[in-house]
Order: sequence, then C-alpha cells, then structure tokens
Amino acid sequence: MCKMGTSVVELIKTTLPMDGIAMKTLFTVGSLLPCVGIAILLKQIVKQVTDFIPYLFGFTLAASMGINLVSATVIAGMFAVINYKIKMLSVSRAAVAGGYDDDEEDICVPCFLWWRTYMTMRTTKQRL
Amino acid sequence: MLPLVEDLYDNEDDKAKAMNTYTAFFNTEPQLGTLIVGITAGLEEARASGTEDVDDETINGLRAGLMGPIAGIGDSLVVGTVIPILLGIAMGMSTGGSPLGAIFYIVVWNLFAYLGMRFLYFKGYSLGTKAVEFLIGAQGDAIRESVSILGGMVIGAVSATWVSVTTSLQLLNEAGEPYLVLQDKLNEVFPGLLTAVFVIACWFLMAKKRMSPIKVMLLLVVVAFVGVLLGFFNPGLVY
Repeated sequence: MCKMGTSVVELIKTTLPMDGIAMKTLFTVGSLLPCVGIAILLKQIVKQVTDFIPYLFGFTLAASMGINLVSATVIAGMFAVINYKIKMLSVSRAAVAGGYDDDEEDICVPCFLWWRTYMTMRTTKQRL
Repeated sequence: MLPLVEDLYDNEDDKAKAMNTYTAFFNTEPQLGTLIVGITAGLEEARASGTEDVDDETINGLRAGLMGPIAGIGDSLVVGTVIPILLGIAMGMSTGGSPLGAIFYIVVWNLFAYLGMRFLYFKGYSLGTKAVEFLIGAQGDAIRESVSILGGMVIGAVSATWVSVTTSLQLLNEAGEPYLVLQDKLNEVFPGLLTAVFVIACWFLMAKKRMSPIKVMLLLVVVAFVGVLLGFFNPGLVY
C-alpha cells in the first residue's frame, strides 16, 4: 500500500468528493446512527409513553439549558430521591390505613394527620 | 456456583444434587446480579452445614423472584446511567483523536464492575434473605421507579449532548438569500427537536414495531440517502 502514496489519496479525493452524494450520505448516516444506540438504551427504560417525560426532561436540561452530563445526573438523582420519598410515604400511608402498623411509634406527621382525619370521619359516620 | 459447591460438599452425590439446583432458568443483569449469587451462596452454605432448613425450592424461588427486580434496577442504573456517563466523559476526553478516553473508559469501567460486583456479592452473602424483603414489595417498587426516572433523564441528557441531527434545508428568495433556515426555526420551537424525533422514531420502530437494530440502521441509511438527495441533510464538510 505504501507504494501508492499520495496519488491514490488524490484519486479518492477526486472520485469521492465531500460534496458528492456518497460522502454526504455516509456522514449523515454517521450522525443518525447514534440515535439507534440511544433508542436501544431507551427500550430498557421506556415501557409506556409517559416514561418519555423523564427522557425529554433530561433532553431539555442538556439541549435547551446547556447543562452538562454530570450536572444533569445530579439533578436527575435529586428527582429520583424525591420520587422515592413520595413513593415510600404512600406505602406507609397504605400500611396505616390497613391498620397493620398500630404499634408503629415513629409515624410521620402527614400520615398521622391523615390517619386522624380518617378515624374522625369514620366515627362521625358511625354516629350518623 | 461450582467452586462454592466443590468447597462445601465432600460427597460426589451431594455435589451433583446441589449443582442440580442451579440448572433452573436464571437471567438477570450481570453486574447487580452478583447480589443474588451472594444470597444464594449464603443459603447454600446454610444448607450444607445443616443449620437451616433450605430446600431447592427456596433457592430457586428466590432466584426467580429476584432476577426480575434486579434486572429492572440494573438496566436503569448500570446500562442506563453509569455506562452513558462514563462514555460521555470518555468521549469528551477523546475529542480531537486522543486515545485517553478509551483508556479511561476501559480502566474505570472494569474497576467499577470488578469492585462493584465484589461488593454486591459479599453484601448479598452477609444480608442473606434480608435483602429479599428490601427488594421485593413496595420498597423495591419505589426504588425501581426512581432509578428508571434517573436513567431516563440521564439518557435524555446524553442524547442531547452527544447526538446531533441537524437539517441544512433552507429556502432561497429571488436574490439568492435564504429567507427560511429550517434548523433555526426548529431551534426556536425546541432545541434538538430533530434529534429527539429521530431517537423516538427509532425507539418506536424497535419497541413497538419489533424491528431489529440492524434493520433500523439500514432504514436510517435509506433515510440519509433520500435526505441528501432532497437537500434535507448536508454535513457541509470539505477536505
């Protein structure tokens, strides 16, 4: 290959010019193919259409607000923590409503308030 | 499980019986999955020493019950979060042709995988069945959902940072000046709109239309060719 040298490179450059269809297509494909990679990742996470909201939120953070990847991860982590707390709160609520955790001492304030309202309502209903 | 079984039992029949337990179907995320292997290692040890009454069904029920949740968390956390972040950092390092990014990724990923898997294995071993309560049920569901939100957002940020689909379509007026540059208009609507559209289209083809990634790639080649012919795509590069 070394024998051919610059003449071959020149030949390639003239037969495959950058503004020709072949090279344009190749470079366009190059910019489109990462979409497939991202879509493969997304397939693991997005099961229904509403799951796209976190994806688009992350996309907006990076594309519109110019936040870089690691910072976006920190923000995403914060949202994950909030979601986890809310989920766990609803779990402990359900447990209180089911009456399993009567001897639970360190009950959280919203759950307790909800439970008290619920009990008051129930006793009022009984009276009526 | 073979090294463990070899170590725990002396009798060949017992070894065969123990190994037979692990022939049941088991498929999960390889990195986080070591947690399950750790738990079963603890159970197998208890069975061998006879301190606890553990039968095949306990072990296989546990493995079958945990492989789904662990795969769900692992896919979002490892495949959806850690790998894209590491690759993102590595790609930043490699911009301009430096090999540093590739080396960084190989070293950091393998260190992370090795240490993480080791940690999880021993964590599973020491937690034992307590880990099951943690992962199955309401708390496990909450973790899975939160982690998948995290993964989705990170993938969104990755695609906006590293994937760039742009159009060069512009309409010229009689004087030869462009009066409509489509990309600018699209950016006014939503920056990176085309990228998002292409990613979601690929997702739709693969997840809903059950096309294989290869077919989607070939389809993209066709799309690129047609787009270039129509003047929609133009990388605008010169030698």
